[in-house]
Amino acid sequence: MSSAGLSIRHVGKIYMSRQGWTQALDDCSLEVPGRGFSVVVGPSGCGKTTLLNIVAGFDDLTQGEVRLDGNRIAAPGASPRPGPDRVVVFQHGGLFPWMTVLDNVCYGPVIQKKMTAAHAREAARRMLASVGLSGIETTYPGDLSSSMRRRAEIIRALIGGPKVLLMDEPFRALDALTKSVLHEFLLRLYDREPYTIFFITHDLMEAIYLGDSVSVMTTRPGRIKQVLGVPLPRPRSHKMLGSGTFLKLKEQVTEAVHEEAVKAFMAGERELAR
Amino acid sequence: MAKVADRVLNEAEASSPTPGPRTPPVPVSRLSLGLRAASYQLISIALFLLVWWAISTIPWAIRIPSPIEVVSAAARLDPQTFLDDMILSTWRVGLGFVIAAAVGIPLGIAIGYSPLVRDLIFPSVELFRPIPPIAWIPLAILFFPLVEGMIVFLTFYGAFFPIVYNTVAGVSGIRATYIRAGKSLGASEWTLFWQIVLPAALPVIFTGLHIAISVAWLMVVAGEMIANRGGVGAMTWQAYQTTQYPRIFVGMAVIGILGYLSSLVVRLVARIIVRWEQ
Amino acid sequence: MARTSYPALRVASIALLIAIWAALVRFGVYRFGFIPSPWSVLVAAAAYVTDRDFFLDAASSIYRVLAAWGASAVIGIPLGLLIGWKRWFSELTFPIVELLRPIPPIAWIPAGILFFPQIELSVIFICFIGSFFPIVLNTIAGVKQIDQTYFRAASCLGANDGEIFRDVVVRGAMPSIMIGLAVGMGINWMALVAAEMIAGEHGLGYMIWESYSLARYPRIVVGMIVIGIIGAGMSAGIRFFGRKMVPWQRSLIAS
Repeated sequence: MSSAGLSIRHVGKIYMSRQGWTQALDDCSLEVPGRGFSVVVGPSGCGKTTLLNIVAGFDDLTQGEVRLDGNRIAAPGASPRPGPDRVVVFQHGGLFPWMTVLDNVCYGPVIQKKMTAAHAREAARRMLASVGLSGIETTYPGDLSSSMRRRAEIIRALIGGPKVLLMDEPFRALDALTKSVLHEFLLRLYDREPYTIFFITHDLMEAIYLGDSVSVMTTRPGRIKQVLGVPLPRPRSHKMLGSGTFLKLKEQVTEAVHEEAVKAFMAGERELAR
Repeated sequence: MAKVADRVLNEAEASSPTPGPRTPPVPVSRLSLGLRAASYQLISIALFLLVWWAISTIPWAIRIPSPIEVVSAAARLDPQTFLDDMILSTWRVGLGFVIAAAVGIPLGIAIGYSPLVRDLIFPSVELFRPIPPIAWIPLAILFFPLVEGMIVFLTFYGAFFPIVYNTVAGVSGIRATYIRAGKSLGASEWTLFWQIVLPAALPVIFTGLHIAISVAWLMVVAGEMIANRGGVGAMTWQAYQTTQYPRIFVGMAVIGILGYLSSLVVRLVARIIVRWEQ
Repeated sequence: MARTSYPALRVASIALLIAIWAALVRFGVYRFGFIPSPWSVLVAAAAYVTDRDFFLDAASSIYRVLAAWGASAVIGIPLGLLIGWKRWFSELTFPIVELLRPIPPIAWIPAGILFFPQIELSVIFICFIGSFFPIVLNTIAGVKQIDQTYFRAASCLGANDGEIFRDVVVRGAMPSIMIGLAVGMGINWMALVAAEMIAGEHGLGYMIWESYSLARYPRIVVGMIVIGIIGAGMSAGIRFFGRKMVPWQRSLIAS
């Protein structure tokens, strides 16, 4: 097995709270090959975000390890440290509202001293123009539409050339039409330069349309229950959404997720009854 | 789908609830978390007292009485006059505050409701706003023959503006949706007012009352210091004039405590009356 | 609520006010006979604003307010930022802030005179107390309302603690800091007038009190109006400055 890519091995996570302890993740294992697009789906509260937070370095783990391109980035007892090698695109938008789009995109390279400010601005302009976003450089994120904001945030994440791009349900808050625009955007970016991508979502169609593999997570305590490969060719097009392969995959994933969703619901009922 | 649900239910009943963790959890007890927070607060206050005491003993630093002197001065206060002073100040604040509310809330509602009233009265009100209430003291002394009247006027004046402004904001800021909903359900103007407009405006009105009581306290202290006729403000000022310096700090502490308590009372009343907004 | 307006009424409102004032004084209604009339105030105003004393008093008051406000900003903003950002610091220092906060600036006057026998410093100290607490409290609130996402985003992009402080904490709290500065300025003025009246030597507040003790009553009202105008002007200035410092604020409200 090549050492490139993201390797999540037997990750477990226990939370301490006032009510006692909760096991959020239990023996989660997942391999994302270098330059692979891996999507994780699961019912709400199953722990997908917890897993992403552990990989990102926002949270620690109690068991197991995570390796990125062969280097260990998370282990029990090690304090979690986020870094530019695994940038996150956040669910509710992480562009700094008090900086213009250009300053936002330049922020990473300048802070990491990879480029001078002038050089970074040039690179940022070029990258924004290459994806059709020129003209918004001096705008503040608050004045942009949500789809432009998401795109700008993705560019900000990619300009530093991260080893893995972590995406935390990035298109969740968007309406269906805007979502499809962003799907195209992300897919074209991926076609041009395939990054290693770790993407979590609850939208099954989105998962199959975007990813090379779809991993289904069980309800809490989260475990990877099933991994389905997506044999659709790249570049993806929305014509594929009606194809037989797509529909069959969708049925399989839906079945697997639904079972977990029902379990989660039942567990919730039991909690209330207690 | 029903089969799936059945299967899940059977499995759930058959297996026992969550098994123990594979790794032992980190033993952080709730008790130690609470103790840590409390001890920090104690350290903080202890540090403050220490710094205070240190400054008071150094001769060339600013002259303050030490914490011990202040406490003993407090102990040596005559309880009767002290109580009288507190009651007097509280009475003055309360009276001015109540009058300000009785005049200010209806006025604010009228201004918020009717553009005619607003344009007739509001510009004059706005004109008075930049003038700090304290600046009114000399005029108030001229106008009110009795010191009591003057002081109560000051507390009234201080409380008046926050109450009016917040009432106006509360009434005019009501979501049009609520009004429309009421009208479409057939409410008369009267019902609309008492059951929809007023309750919706209450939280903002109470914010105004909360601010008003603090300003009223400010004013009572100022008025008492200048008029020097009883009350905690007068007591504090007299302590300065009779060079009983530790008493100054006792007075300050009392003013602070009474001010805090009065705004607490307003907040509690607010919580009772505005039950639906936590 | 109807959005109609009656601009003519607004002008009439103020004219009416002055007319009522004049009438009450002229006819000695209740004790209004003791109050100066609008006309006498106008005459006194014309005399005062051309007098050298006016500039001395105004300059004195403005200087004190600015000095106190500046000092409370320089001390209060970093303090508030640290309290809002680092929990251990908050637990250590916030209880003291909360303990001292309920004591109004006016109550500090005797203590202030005690600490600083020089009048100038004692007045500035009272004003400092006035603006200090709103600035600290608003700064703390400003830090606390910053979404955790932004801290995480900054870490992801490689920022260390110091850079996070500069680029996230300070800038994210900026709108609230500006509000705190504006509120602080307003309270500063109130505290100034009180301090100058009770303990001052020159300055607008002192001028009002002096006018009273010298029985030059129309000057009292002149002083009140001047204080009102200058105070309003300074508050407007701060608000303008605040808007300049927060160019993205409009967007924040929109989103």
